[in-house]
Amino acid sequence: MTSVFSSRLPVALGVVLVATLLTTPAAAQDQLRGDAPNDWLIQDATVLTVTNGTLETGDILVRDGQIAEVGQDLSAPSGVEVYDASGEYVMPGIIEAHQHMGISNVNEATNQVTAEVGVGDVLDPYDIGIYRALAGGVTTAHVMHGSANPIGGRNETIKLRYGVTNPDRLKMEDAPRTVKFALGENPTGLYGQGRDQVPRTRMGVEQVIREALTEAERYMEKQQAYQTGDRAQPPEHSERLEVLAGVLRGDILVQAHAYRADELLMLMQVLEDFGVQDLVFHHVNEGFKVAPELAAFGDDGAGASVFSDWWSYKFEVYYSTAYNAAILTENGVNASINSDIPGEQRDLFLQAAKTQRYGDLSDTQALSLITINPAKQLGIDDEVGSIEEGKAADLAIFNEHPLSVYTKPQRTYVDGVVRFDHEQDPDDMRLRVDPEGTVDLARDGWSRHAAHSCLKGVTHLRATHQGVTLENAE
Amino acid sequence: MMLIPMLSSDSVLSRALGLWGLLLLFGAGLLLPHATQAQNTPGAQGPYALTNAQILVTPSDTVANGTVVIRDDSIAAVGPNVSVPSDAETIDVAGQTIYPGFIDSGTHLGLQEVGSLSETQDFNEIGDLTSHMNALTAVNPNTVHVPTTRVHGITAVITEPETGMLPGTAALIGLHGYTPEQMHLGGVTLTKLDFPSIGRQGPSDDRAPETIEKESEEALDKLNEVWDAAERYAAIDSAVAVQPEARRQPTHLPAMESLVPVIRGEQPILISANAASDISEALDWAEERGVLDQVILGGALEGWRVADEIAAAGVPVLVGSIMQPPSRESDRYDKAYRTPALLHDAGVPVALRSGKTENVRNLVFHAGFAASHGLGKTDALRAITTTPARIFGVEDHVGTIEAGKRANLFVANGDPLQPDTDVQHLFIDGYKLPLDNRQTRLYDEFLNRNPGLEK
Amino acid sequence: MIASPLRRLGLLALAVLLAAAPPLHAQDYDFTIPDVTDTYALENVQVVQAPGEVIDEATVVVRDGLIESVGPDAEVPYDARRIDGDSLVVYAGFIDGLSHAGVEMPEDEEDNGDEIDPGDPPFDAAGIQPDRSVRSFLTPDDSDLEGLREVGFTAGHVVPEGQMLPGASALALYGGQSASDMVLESGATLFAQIETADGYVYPATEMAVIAKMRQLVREAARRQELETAYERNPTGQPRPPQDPVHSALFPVLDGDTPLAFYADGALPIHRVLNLQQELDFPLVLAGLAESHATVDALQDTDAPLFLTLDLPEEPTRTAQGDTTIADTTDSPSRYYRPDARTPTHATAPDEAENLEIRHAMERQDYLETAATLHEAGLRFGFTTREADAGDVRDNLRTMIDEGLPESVALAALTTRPASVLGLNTRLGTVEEGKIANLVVTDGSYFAEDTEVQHVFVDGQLYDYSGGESDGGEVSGDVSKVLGTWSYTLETPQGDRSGTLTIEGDESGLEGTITNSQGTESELESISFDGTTLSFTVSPAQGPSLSVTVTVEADAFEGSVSTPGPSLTITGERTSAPNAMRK
Repeated sequence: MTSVFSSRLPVALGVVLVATLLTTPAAAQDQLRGDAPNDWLIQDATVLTVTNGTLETGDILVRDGQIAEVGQDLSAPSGVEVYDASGEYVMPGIIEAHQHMGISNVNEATNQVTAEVGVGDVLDPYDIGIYRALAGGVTTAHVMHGSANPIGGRNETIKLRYGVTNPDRLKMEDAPRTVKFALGENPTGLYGQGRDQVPRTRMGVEQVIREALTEAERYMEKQQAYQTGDRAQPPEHSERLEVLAGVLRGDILVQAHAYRADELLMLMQVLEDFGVQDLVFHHVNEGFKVAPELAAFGDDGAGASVFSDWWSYKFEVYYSTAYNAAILTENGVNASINSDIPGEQRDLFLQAAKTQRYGDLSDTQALSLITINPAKQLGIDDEVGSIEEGKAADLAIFNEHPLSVYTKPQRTYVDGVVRFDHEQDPDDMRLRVDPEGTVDLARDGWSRHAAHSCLKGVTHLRATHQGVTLENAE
Repeated sequence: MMLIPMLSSDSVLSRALGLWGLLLLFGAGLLLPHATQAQNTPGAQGPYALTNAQILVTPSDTVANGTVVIRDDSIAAVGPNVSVPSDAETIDVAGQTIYPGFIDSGTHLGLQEVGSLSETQDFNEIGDLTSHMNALTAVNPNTVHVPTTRVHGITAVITEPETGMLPGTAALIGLHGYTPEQMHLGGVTLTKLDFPSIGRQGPSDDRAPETIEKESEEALDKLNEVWDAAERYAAIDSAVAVQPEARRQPTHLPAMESLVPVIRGEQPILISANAASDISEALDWAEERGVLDQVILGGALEGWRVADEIAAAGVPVLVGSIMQPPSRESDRYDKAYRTPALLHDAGVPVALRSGKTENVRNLVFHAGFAASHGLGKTDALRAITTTPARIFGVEDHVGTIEAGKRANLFVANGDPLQPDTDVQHLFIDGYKLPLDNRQTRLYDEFLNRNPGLEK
Repeated sequence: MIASPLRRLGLLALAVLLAAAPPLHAQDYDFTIPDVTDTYALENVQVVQAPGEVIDEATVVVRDGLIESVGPDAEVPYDARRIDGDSLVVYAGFIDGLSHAGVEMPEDEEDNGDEIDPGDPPFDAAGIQPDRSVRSFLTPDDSDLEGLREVGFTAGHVVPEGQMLPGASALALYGGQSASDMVLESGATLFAQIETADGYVYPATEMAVIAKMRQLVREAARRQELETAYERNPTGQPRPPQDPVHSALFPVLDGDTPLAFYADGALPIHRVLNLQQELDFPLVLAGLAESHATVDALQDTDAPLFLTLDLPEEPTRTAQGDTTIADTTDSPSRYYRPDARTPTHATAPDEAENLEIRHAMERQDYLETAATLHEAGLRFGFTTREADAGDVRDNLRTMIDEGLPESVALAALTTRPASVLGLNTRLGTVEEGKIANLVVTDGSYFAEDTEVQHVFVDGQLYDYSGGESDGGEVSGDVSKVLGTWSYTLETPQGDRSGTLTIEGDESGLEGTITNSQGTESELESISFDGTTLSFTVSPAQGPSLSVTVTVEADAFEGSVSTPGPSLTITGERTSAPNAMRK
């Protein structure tokens, strides 16, 4: 009893509790994660830096959660813990550019434009999916609003600091803000077919987006007029248009769910017309068809975050190819591979490896798809995405080469803190359980109906529609 | 090794052998049309000789350097000292390995084209009692998913109906053929029973434990009623057969009639169950109903919890998909990956199923994960070759590279479970099949699109 | 209305089943005797004036709704009704930090759902109604008030029901003859929750509720600015937009009216605190069930806190559940193995036990929440919003057993809410001049065998000293009747069925009857002698009906006596509690 209280001593906000006795898994988490060391020397590993080649028998010195030095035969300063990684492989922590784990809501599917909402307001640090992602070497995830609306809500880039329970501590503080757009069958199905509202077609999707951006332009003009004194009164405040104005100013990056070649071209044209330079497409199953156009967009090209090999789950992905990532890469498009569906975030290293079967990408090209490339797409490549001095010590350690099907993650570091350890971790890693509950009954397999994807939250809206569209909503 | 293929009980084979024997005797091999046929035909039978190969005869028996001779639909000869028949097209596969074709023990392949379009879905008939539905009927031999699957060395799959308690029969199909009948492998037909589940149906299922229990009891009662009726039906049918003129046929009930072979012990019953308690319940039920010997368990995601019970029941298991989160939030993160190994270690025969439709091709990676999570490579390969062949009773036809078996095999430039390995040659029923498909053709067309940015 | 006996009988049967019968022509002695005086003298009582301030023997005089005097020498007025308080204890009436007691919301208006654009619904459909006040919905007849009074609550911060912004609250007395009698102050706070709109309209998600809060507060700030400028000089300026919803938020922007949020879970608590930091409004925070997990964040706020008096219950396990350590231990953490693994089927049974213990530990955290907050230096009152009045005293005792000092518990019921709700000049202590809200008990309020004898609200006496308990005699093996029963009542109009639930032990039974429409009524005076079970049911109007049945195995048969012929009732037990559980 006393030990429970001792773990509840008041400490300053943001500092995780120090527990001396491990009476609960949460306390164990605190011990392991909150107060855990973030100074490490990882020794004698094969270091896959991604941006600077591979170092055999390499060492990584981590100080205060950052990569201080990468080299050979480094020695551990006092107070630095040593991890013997001989025979093992260290790669940069995997970056997942598209996920819906760790959030309480996915879709505000009531309105075609909901830029004002943000999943960052409803983060759920208790989601076991975060731990399971860590167990797959993932350290950063872009958790996204769903794809019900042509313009959805804001997404959040989170660090997988599993063990913390204050939702704010998951946020990656300096990550640029992003907003979700969605084209094609999801919005046209939901609004057009489901509710008899615009958009029913890809034509409608374009106009909804143009209208919203135009409104934002006017909003900005009014605000400016007020500030310069040309207008007597401030314009009516709009959280929605504030976000879209951020898009127009280039402060908020557009991350667009899209599949078909024509709609990719459409959105690029629309954004070009509004002077928006930053654009990452997600899923993009037909990206390969317009790879040169993607590469030519704006200053740096449009990014493409794709599935390794998912296709045929709906009509707009029927004419797909698993060679998509390879074609995009070879055409100079910054491509990443994502997993999207909670539960699928655990084997991104395998998904990246598939590009060696589908297109013969090199090891570095393949690893880039889940590290530096998504980091660039999220605007966080100066902090994460490769093993470089000065970057965050987000590291994934594997027993075999991470592109081997036989590899298994051993340890995952986030900001220099071990947040997954296959040796040490107990089975039950939940941070809380239902106080009125009993032992979980097992789920009967992985129900495709429950595999909530980009359309989570709109289920009952489509109850009258055919249920199958929901199974493979993304 | 023999030059002339072993005699087989397969009538097609023996008839073919007669013809080939004559041709060989008269040295007519060189005139054979097949030998000179163009490579771009959609598929052509040999004879072929794959030479200088490493041969994985069975997962635990490798020939370091040998030859495989394929004639008609069968493997004519295998071994280090096999001579190349003069009429055979020789393919030098030095440095490469020949593997038996892989078998996926649970899919919807051929039964669905586009996931979101119900008009392309044929695995889910309406009703709870649809045991007379046959998956084979609705298999689309020309689905775009077949060529994209088999190029990974997967040459046969179980394709299953779903929805309802007794959704119908599953079938084992080979992945080459132009009619379902041509694809049907060894006549394997399994009556499927989706055992009533007491587990939660996913995170959004918030039914109270009592409700779940009650509903599952009701479902179990219903199953027993169905089975009682089917047994009655079978009994009447048997009685009529004794005196067909004097006795009346039972009321025609196709669903009941379709269960008669199971009741008479003539057909296996594939029971799907995932939660540990469902599995225990299912085994008890099967024993009570006297069908335990015929049971094949499917899914079994939580089978590891009751591995001893399954082993004691002597029931084989088709595990998977293992590429999913463990069934409980409190479970260790890798439990699903480990399930095949835990069942195997308890003495249960284990085959793998992907549970997929368009991505059955990932079976190879599922096997890789099972291998590294305790099963080991040899047993992982068995789980997609010899073990399913034995479970489905087709071990005389497929599963290994032995003379007399069907020529379902492929040549790979490395470990076929590794992503960076490519399949170089593929044979199903002796047909050498092209390795392109719509996905590779899109790659070929768009890698360097012409025109590019400017026309 | 002249009712034929048969017709009456039909109605009567319905009365049992629906617990809502029309008036009947039977005798009814349940009328109220008017009070002769509203002056009371509680003599020779122990007075707990405030936590830690006790007068061992004193007289408390209540007159004209106020505490006229308190002390050993207080004079008893001539017109006082004397209450001999030998061995009685007087406390200040308890103050409820947030509830819906005394609030009856109007039925939903005909919804014109078809015309609502789900993406842009009108304010009321979106649950945004800060412009209305709970004052309009107050009634002293609300049955919740009686239950709360009986355990000592005499006033509270009452809020309207609804979604994200249901309306303005009131500080109200938990008694009186009319709504006006109840009101101490209107519009003390605006009630708020991170609660989505009814039906599938915006805001349909918590994130949209949060976004909408931002929108409303920021736009209100703009409108307030416009209004101020307009007031200064309207000439030549367009008239600012007028809408009561935004205007209702002006006092919040001014810092005069707090937003009173209800949030129980750790995540909603964090979300409310974040919103407050961002928008900087005065905050009152109630609920806090899982606040043991948010102590750090709470230490950063000076918002008044009200902790729920609800506590998690042990799960009801299904029949096969055996008793485990988790059921019997008081310190589950001693048995918990945090590093447990279940590598194979062989250890699966150990895993189940360990996980049961983990759930028990989590329950323990909730039971200790009050103590945890206290030890962290956080001060709080209580809210009854999610609690059953009947559980309040048990739950308080549990909190005390788990480390909450009694004096702190008492302060949380009295002085703390009085001070944070701005009522401390009128309520919260037993002092001269304060409103006569008192709780009179026959021992320490927190002791298990103590009964509340009298409660004063606004000087009005609610007397509980007569009704020791309305329970009947109980003997024999009560496990024969415990559980849920389905019954069938044979009426001339055909069979009516429903369920009965009976729980309790040898010391007393309680239960409910639920008709086929799902209407639930309490069973009264339940007695059982091992074979015969009897109880009465009182419909909202009309006479009580008494039921007597003989229980054998898992079935019963008996009759329902009515003013007309009696009716046959039969029943079968559908579930029994696990015999092994305490």
